[in-house]
Amino acid sequence: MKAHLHLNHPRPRARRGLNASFIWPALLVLVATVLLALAAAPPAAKVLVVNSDASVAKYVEVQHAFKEALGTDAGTVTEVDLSKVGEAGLRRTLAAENPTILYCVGSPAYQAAVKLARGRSIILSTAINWERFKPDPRTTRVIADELPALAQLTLFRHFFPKLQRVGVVYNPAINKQWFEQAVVAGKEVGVEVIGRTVTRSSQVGSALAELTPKVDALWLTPDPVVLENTAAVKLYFTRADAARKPVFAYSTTYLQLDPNSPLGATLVLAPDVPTTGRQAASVAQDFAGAPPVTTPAGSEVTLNLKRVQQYGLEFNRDALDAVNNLLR
Amino acid sequence: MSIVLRDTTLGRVRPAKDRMLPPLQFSRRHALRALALVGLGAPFLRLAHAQAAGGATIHFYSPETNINNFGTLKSEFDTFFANAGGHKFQPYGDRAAFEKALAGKSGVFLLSSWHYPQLAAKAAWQPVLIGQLKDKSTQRHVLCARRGVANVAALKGAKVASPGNKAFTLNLLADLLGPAHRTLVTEQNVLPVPKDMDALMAIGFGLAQAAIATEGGLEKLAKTNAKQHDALTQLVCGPERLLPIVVARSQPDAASQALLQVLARMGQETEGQQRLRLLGLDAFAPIGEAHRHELRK
Repeated sequence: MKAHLHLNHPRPRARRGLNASFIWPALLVLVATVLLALAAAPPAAKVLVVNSDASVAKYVEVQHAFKEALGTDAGTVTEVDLSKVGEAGLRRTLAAENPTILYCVGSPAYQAAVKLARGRSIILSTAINWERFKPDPRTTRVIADELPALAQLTLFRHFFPKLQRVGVVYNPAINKQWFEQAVVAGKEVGVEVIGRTVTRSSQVGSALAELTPKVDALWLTPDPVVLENTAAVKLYFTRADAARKPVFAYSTTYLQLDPNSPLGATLVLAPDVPTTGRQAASVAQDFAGAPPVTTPAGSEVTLNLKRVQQYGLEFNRDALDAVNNLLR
Repeated sequence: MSIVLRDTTLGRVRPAKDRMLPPLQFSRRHALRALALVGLGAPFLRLAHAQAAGGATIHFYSPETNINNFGTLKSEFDTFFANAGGHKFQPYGDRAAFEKALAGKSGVFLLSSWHYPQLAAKAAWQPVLIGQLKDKSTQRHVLCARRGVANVAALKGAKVASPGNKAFTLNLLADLLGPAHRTLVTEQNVLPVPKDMDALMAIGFGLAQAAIATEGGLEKLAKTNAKQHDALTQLVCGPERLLPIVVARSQPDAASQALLQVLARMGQETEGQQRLRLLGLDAFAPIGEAHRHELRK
């Protein structure tokens, strides 16, 4: 009770005056500092993350890594799940939030964003064959969803040091340039990349029949013609399996073609999902300075040891520390 | 004293005197046998006890790699341990969760030798084993850049790719760059990638201007892609750092002791070594006093 009275006791005038003489200049300096800091720092970009479907684990993971990498800037991030809110919901969010940048995770999100947020800055990631959208380099930054051929070939060699020839079937209308780069990259790591061209998926079988005996492994890439129908894709695996040769693929969906099939890829190299999210965050922090297309900086490796043993392949055990998923 | 034996053939209990043996002779001989059995069988009994208790857990966290291989590590180690004491492997992607587990009183912990000295509770956890790679218990980190970058001063504001997390990378960079240049690279400039090979190749792809990797990682690139390797210059080579260590309580319980024995033998068998290679190791060895001293610094 005594303490309470003491606290409420009026302070002497002289002491109050002394405090005030310090407080006002200090406050002025503080306000000036804050104003100067605000003027010097560029305004933090307001980001809207448009997730194509938040029930897809990969999309959630990339989104999480993006937010984590933005760190303190994460307060300016709004998120929507397109599969839940639909285009109408996205339109409402755009109007309410007025974001500076849209980060689109997956193809559906990008297609909706292009339609509803024309002219705004867009970052796209985790979209297979993103080139088909022909993104506008003035407004769009892409984190590609395919590892460069050189990175893949280097890892092929890392896991299978005796690999000499790898075969790939592709449509020249779409992947001619990619194939030429792969041939050059192959020379860099001592692997001959042999290709067979197709223009229709019905030609995949004959191309593989000719190619398989000439190579040590088949390389399945996201070529739209090869992937056009499941029968053509299955041929990759049946031909390779008959010749006891491995298939190297770009997605873990090819580890087992279907639950009843013994067929599947031996090695899968895909972009590392959290690294893609971090790269997208880096682009968001410097959108203008980022190149139109960024190569994935991280790789995710899946090795099917069962198939390695089944085909009697020699693999580099020292490479196991680079494996994300090991199947037996 | 009447000694009661169980007749396993008939499944009934009968007194020792019924077996027509002088009580003293029987007692001495059997007591010696029993002692020998207890002495020789103690490790097996302990193992059996550990198995009955579900074994111990080895908790793992590393800031030195960003590879998300937790599912594989868990399944591979648990499968291996199934026939070696029924122990469990528990990986963590989050340092706080790992340190929370350390606050418990049981199990053993596999962690970076960089992390251990920072633990608040390190006095309660003693280093027991140290990772081995090619008969060495240390490794060195290197800072590389594109050939043509003359020195570290040119890295001001540069993007640095690293297989470690940001805290580990910044600490390592401070060591590698030295006091004069330690502020050249900020947190925002660090690009965490899964592994050494990714970090080193990021330079060639123009995704980073510099990269941190282990010497071993740089050698792997040289073997696989000599052109990419030759396009790099090694700006700084850091000091030898201890490989990951296994720590346990000063007086570990029986299950933890059994697990430590299993870990110490893992590198001697193909199946065990294959699991350790997933961690970038090929064996565990007992930790020496010199290394313990280094960890106390």
